[in-house]
Amino acid sequence: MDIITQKDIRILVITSNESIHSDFKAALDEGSIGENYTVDFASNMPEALEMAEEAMLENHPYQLAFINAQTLTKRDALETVGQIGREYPELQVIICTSHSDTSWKEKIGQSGWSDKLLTLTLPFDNFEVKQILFSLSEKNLLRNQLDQMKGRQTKLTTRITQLQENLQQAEEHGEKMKKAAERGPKFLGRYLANISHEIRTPLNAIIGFSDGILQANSIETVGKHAQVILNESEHLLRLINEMLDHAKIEAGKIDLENRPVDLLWLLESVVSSSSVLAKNKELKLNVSKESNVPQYITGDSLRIRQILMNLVNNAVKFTEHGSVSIHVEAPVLEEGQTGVRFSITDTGMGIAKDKQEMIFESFTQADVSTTRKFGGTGLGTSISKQLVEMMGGQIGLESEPGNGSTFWFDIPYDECEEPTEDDQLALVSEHRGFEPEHVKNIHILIVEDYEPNQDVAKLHLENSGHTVDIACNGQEAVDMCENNTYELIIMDVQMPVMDGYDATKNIRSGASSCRNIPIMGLTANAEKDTQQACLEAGMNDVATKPIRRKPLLNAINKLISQTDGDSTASSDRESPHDAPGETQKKNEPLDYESAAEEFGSIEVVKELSGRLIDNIEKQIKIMKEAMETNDMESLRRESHSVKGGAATLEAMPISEIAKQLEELSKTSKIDEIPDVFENFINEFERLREFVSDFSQLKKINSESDDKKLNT
Amino acid sequence: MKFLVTDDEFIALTKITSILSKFGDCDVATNGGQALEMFMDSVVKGELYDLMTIDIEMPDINGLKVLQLICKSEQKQNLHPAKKIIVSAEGKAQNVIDAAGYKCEFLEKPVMRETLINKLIKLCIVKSEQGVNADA
Repeated sequence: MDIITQKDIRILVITSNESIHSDFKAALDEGSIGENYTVDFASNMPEALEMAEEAMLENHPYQLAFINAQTLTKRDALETVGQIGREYPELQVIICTSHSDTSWKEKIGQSGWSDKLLTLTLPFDNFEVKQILFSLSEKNLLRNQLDQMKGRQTKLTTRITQLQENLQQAEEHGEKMKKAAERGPKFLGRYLANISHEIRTPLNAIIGFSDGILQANSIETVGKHAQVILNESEHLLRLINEMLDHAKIEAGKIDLENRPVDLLWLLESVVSSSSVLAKNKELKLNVSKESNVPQYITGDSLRIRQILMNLVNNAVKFTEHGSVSIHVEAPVLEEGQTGVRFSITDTGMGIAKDKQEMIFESFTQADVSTTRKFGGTGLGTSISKQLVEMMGGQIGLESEPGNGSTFWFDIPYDECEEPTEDDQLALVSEHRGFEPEHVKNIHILIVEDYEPNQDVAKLHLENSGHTVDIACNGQEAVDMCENNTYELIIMDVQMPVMDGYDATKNIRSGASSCRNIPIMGLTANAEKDTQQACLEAGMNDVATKPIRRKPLLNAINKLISQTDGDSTASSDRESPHDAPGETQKKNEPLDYESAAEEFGSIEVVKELSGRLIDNIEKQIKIMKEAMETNDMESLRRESHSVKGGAATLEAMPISEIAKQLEELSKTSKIDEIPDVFENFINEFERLREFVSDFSQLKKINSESDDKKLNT
Repeated sequence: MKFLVTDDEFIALTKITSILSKFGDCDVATNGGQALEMFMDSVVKGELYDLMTIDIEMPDINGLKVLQLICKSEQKQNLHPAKKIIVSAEGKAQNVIDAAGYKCEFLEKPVMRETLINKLIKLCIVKSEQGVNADA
């Protein structure tokens, strides 16, 4: 309940008659009437008006005015009271008249002010005065309350108006949301129509060709059909993965990893995956990187690769002639944060400004006809945008119709140290899925006069699945080129009869089918002059002896992919995961990755493989003795032991040969043993070298300073 | 969990030990005689092994013989028998039967991580989630 504070009631008594002043005072002082009041006196109207004004300015106006009728001149009496009434509408006026003066009563009656004007007959009764005061102060109280109520009402009205506005806004908002939600099904409908076509197409092919296999008459047909099924299935898988990705992102269910990312490897992998497509369209694929770009950053390797692949694939897809260039730099982003920026520039048809916004939206492609012509879900770029934004980065594009396009994205990064051993392991396993495309099964001519070198090179290359011929000197090489087709020649420089330079010049100027194939020179001399001479003679590349397996294979890959369609993308580093692809993994002397998984630690595997080598070396001596003395039991025991140990350590090739020896010694097939034993020794040497290579591996990358990629 | 791993071939020994170490403490023996000594030790100390893996092909005492001796001893002294896995490079039926005769599991070499863990789950040495989550 509100406490209505009241100020004193102010009373103004207007009379020139002094005795009325004191009478009033006495009347008011007598006994308490429970109210607070103050009385002021004025002798005439002008003075009274002044005082009234002052009181008003003090914000404590008079509420009661007792006016002695005699103070008012007869003529302007009513006007004066009227004036007071107008200026002070809340002032209650009481005219004090004498018994004999009835004029006031008449006047009041005529004027119609009977509710505003009171009369008090003089001499007055104290009691009467008090009663007037009571009722007037009651009236005052009520008036105050009314004012406050009015005030509150105003506030409430304002509040209600506000609420009404809010309600209206909420309704409008609701309408908007409703409309947006209704649009959803429409989009979904369009999306499903698009997707359904994309999914049905490969499925039709799969079903059709599966049927074809059931009807097929020849193994050849079966093979062809199977290949198509495989391709279409992979395409379908990619589609579905994209859709799932999109759904997961929309549902907020993607977690980004935060582990060391090898940027160089990433680039290489993306480039080699795209190079096939680029080659087919005769597009040049360029990669460049600024020197301040770090080797490792923390992030999600898989997802960054996904974004890159999407943009690069799009660039390749939508470019008919020219090139696609990937550039990596390390700009400083907003707020001083370090970032990595990837830009993918193509010489394609460009994208109109009004279509550019749509590029990153879901389910839209620049043109309805685009989907029909180029396929795809319309999801790839929108997923890329979402992923980039999840990483805290930005994505964008610059393009003009007819002038190609540049898609770019930044990601902020934290610099990362060399990955730990466990990270290395993880990286290696991850990379296993992304083997760069390796040249498969080409016909190679090795031109080398020194026999052991011939054998070593042949061994390396045959293990990688290639077919190898040997020429002992330059002349033989020229002859063999006339009669055979090769994809590559490895040409030693220093040879009798005809050296490497002359042989190369000969082949280049000749008319054989080998005229323009890549020739790799081999020289023991690492000097610049020699290298220069080789290149001038017509060789494409020069390697220095002794050449080991991995650099040899890498160099071959580089040469072959360079001269095919001129796609230039490889690095100079040596790395174990550049080893031959999945299908050739079985030929690895020791499968380090599987062993590491089985034993739980790559260090343990390294240590055990060292010990295995030492042990087998000793066992070979025992086995040789056993062969000399025809002690089959001893031979069997040692072979059995090697078979077991090697197999446990995932060194399958040597385990297999040891198994053969075990069998032969069990059945005492003495004549067959020496040949198999020779294989065994060779495989052991292969294993020994392999193990020693791997043991020296401290980091995944080589120690070489030159980390620039070729452009 | 206490384990005894017996194998004269160091690679297999290391592999089995590295896998089992995730689930308990491993003691190793490189021949039958050593294995028997360690078994007797454990009885004396009152700290029996929960599981023993025994390689069959060993130079001094054949693994099956070791198994036989241990089982007899457990019976005689009324001990709670340890779970046992016989490991062999030969998948010969003979060995399998012998193993079964002695209430024993059988593992073929080369021992694969997953196979061994499945055996551990079967023998209730390891709960299936544990096995699945055993990190490399």
